[in-house]
Amino acid sequence: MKGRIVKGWLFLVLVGLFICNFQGVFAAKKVQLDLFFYKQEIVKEMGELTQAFSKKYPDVEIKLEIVPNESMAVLRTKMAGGNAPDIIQLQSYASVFEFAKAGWLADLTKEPVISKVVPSTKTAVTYNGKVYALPMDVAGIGIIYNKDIFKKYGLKPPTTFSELKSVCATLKKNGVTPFAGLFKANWSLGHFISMVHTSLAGDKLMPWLEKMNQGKGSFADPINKAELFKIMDFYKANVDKNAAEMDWNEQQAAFASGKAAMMVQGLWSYGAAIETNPKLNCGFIPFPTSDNPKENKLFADVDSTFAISATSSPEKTKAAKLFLEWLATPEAVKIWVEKCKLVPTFKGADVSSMDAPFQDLVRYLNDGNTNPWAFAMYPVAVFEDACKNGAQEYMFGRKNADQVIKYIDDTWKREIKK
Amino acid sequence: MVASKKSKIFFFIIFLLPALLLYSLFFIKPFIEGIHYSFTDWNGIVPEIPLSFEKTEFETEVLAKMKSPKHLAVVKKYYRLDGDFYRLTNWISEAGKPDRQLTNTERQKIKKALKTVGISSINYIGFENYKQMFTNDIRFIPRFEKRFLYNEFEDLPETIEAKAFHKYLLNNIKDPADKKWLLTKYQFDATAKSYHLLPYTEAEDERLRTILAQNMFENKFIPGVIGFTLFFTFFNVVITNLFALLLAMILDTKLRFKNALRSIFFLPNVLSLVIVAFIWSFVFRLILPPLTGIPIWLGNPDIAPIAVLIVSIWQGAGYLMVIYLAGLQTIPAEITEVAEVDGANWFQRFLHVKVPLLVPAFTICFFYSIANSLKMFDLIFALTNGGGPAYATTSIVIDIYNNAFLQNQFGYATAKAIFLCLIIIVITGTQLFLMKRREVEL
Amino acid sequence: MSRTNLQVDEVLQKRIQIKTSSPKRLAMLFVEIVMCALAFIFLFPALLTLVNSFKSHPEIVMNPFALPTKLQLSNYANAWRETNFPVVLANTFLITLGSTIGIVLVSSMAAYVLVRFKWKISWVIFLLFTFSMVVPFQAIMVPLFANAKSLNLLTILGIIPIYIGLGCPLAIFMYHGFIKGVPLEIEESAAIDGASMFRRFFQVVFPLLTPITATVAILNVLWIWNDFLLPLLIIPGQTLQLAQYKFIGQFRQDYALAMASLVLSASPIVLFYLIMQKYIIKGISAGAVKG
Repeated sequence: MKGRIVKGWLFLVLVGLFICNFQGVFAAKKVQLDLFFYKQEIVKEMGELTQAFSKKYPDVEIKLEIVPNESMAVLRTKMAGGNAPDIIQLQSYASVFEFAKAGWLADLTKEPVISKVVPSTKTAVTYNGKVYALPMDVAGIGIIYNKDIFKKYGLKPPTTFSELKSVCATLKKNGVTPFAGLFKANWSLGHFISMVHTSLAGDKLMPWLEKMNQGKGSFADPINKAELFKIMDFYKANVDKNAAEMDWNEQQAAFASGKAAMMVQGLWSYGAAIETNPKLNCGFIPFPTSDNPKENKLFADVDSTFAISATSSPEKTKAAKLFLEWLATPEAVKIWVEKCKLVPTFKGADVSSMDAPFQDLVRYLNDGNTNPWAFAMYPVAVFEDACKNGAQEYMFGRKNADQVIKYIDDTWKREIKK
Repeated sequence: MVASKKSKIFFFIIFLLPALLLYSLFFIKPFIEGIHYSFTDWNGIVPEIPLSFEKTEFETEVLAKMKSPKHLAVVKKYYRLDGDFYRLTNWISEAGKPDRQLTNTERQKIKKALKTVGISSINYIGFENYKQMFTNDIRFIPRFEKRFLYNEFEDLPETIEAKAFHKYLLNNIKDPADKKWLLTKYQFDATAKSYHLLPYTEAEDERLRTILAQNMFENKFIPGVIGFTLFFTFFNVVITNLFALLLAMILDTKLRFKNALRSIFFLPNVLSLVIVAFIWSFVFRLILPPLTGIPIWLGNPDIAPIAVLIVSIWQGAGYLMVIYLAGLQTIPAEITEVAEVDGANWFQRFLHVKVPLLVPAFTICFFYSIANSLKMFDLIFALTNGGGPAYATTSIVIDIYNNAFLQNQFGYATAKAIFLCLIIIVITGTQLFLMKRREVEL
Repeated sequence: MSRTNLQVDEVLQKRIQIKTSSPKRLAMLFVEIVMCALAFIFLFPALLTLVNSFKSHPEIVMNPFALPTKLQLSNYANAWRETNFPVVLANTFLITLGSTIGIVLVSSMAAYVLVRFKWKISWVIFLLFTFSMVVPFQAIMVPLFANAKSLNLLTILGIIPIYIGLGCPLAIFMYHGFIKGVPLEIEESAAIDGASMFRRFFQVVFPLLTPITATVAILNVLWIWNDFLLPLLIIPGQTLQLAQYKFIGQFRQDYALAMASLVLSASPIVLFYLIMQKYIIKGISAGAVKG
């Protein structure tokens, strides 16, 4: 009797082992790459991009892994388990640096594709003198405005803070909400506080960042604290009444329907707005913080990058590099520009087919009239926690200016101690 | 039974083994590893063994210092020079075989070897994480916080109510000179019971602003992560159980469509959280404001905890209702009939006959709802974008999640998780102990 | 008894009935109305999802409570295509079925010996299983993943043993309560026949457990079908819940597709629940209350 039971168990174990392995047995000779990405506004388009690649290189297959809201949690859990995806889409600066520092990313300095990008974008991916990722797109955060509404009330896009104030006053008088707000999620306010801070800091930004990373200084140092928070108050006074409950969709709806004339957003939101209302006629300008038009630069920088895992097999690493090389070909750039609607970083890329707001962005880029994305240079936790939550708490009246600044400073000090 | 002791043990093990094996592998082992991390400073990113070293660092810090030739051989075998770096050969090619990744035993060998020269990415820091929870985490424990009532960039308030003026402003000013001066600028108006701002000069404006900005505050109680979790747990457990019991009592009568109603009340448990969060955010934004007059629900730090509570009660009641219903159906009809004949009214029958017999159901329901409320994560995460607004709905588990994955404090996060387990064990343990004693056997 | 007499009698009786019970009936009617209103609140999300799944995205954003002006059946077609519905449905089905069968088998066996052998060790092991109910999943998430990876379990079939390991404690808890109430005599008569423990369990005991087995199965099916975080780590994008998640995120929320795919993904499970629901109450009444 017992013998039969033991045999039964043995059989079960064998079946189990077979099942666990059969995936390996049937795996074809194709090289399979895992591509992890967080930009979920281009899910469909990424599929087209990788399919076009696989058509050209039939023995490489790219499996897309999209993790929209919890991308960092999933990526970290995977890496902690020793299972880094082969190609990883990372946000520029701090995220790249963090993973490069931990040794997770392959050194791409000598790859030919790196020489094809606009040189100034390399700072966003260079850590200790080595390039660890391929910068992919440049994005801007600023004011997206509805040209038709502006025309109706005879308004011109503001170039100074005073002009912005008068534009808002006119809009309000006519019953139009100046800004479509997004306060429910904290990330948009995080972008806002960093954008205004960077603009006010001007040339002092880089020396200040260096000082902060040595553990000296405060968030309030390079700026006039009052100016920063006055602009926050101004913004709060000019968004929808129920902005506290507005998330991405509600903001897009308010802007696309013409209830609000402007929104402070990244240009990545343009696609959603135009999808909701295809007749929308938009322009894109920097958020002015100064009364000197020359000081108001567009908050634009490298957004997403592609890195290759240092732990992938040599075979996969080779295939992944092939993919990055292919991204610079006109065929790939065309998909990137026309389908994904992102501004590429490659030299001489043709962007003439893009809509007006993108042309505005490209013009600022070509003029060198931009501010870097300082928030991406803060330690990750400083932006993710202190800036985003601090700004939100300020808007909800939970913290005052000094408390917000102290929270950011304390988090920063804790982060660099590690 | 006529089986011998030996064969009994044999069957015991055979029957238990599959469950115990899988449970140990996917629960006990990860949990013990969690305890281990809770005593370290691991940030959650740095790999256990370094993937690369700078050339000179490796030569001076590792190769020069390592004494044991065995360890040296291990390190030399797996770290190969590549440009300016010594890199871990993560993939091993052996003749005639496909490339393979480092095995776990090989990793352990490398880890051990590097440890002899003091290189490890994960350092033990004793109870430091546990201490930090109570001393150096401003979000975690309940506390009083200054909530400033005047923002120095706003215009100066023209009138301030007398009560507020004394309570929030005058009492907070330490410097008597400032106090005196302020009273010359704000004049008391006895009829309106308030203070009025008198005309002031440009120079005085600055001083007034500073005094008001620094001193006009109330000491507001902030429940913190622990406070919110306990608040949520208490009300969620009490209200959900009462509501579920009420539903069960009603559905235990000869009501029409009671079977359909049972299915409907259980429905929220069948739907995925995505649907639930989705629809409720519409309800809070578009239906409830006109009905209740409260304009903002999920976006208001003071109201969001209540909004979350409502959804949680709505979702959890059906499940508990089923358990209560089951409990009520085990009560034989004769017992209630006897009580009825004895002249007990509806309420007496309920209190003295049904409740004692329902204690086993109470025990289970309370246990479920206490443990689940203290562990609440998904629903709140989906409803309030991960614990907002302004941290007002951050439960302990959401806080753990933020610590681990947004703030690079993995060791600290696991320490919090262990602390949470202890809280749950203490609370549910007490509850089970108290209620088990009151159970009546039929 | 004459015919007229009978009629008079009946009428009289009815009158008396109405007189005595009419306030009670009124109260009953009132309760019924209140309960129906309450039921509407509980049904509301499902109804709203269904209605909105036939509208276009701008329509939903502008007014989620309006009825569709035109049936947008294309939502379903698009959601079907974009989520690769047949494949993810098959995956989810396979995972749910495999894990549930595993949980039922493994837990009923374990609970059986834990109840029947009244040793101290049985009690300790039972407590050990119960312990998992107080630990949040996030506490074991990272080491669990590392474990699964080193065991090569990052596949659709590999997630099944993980579900069994994580799901068996609650199931054992419920079986434990139920088996305590099953009389020993039937088993003992089987033992005298000389049936082995194995045969005794599967032929005699297991059929007796049907009500609680149904409950355990239903609760686990609900959990695994709707689970999110574990499959997100182990097999990203390959289950129903994950496939539709791409419609709802920070930077892209396509309500129309989301609603349609929610209806698609929820309908099998709602159907399953409606068919099985009568077992839930029966099973819980038999088992959990005696915990």
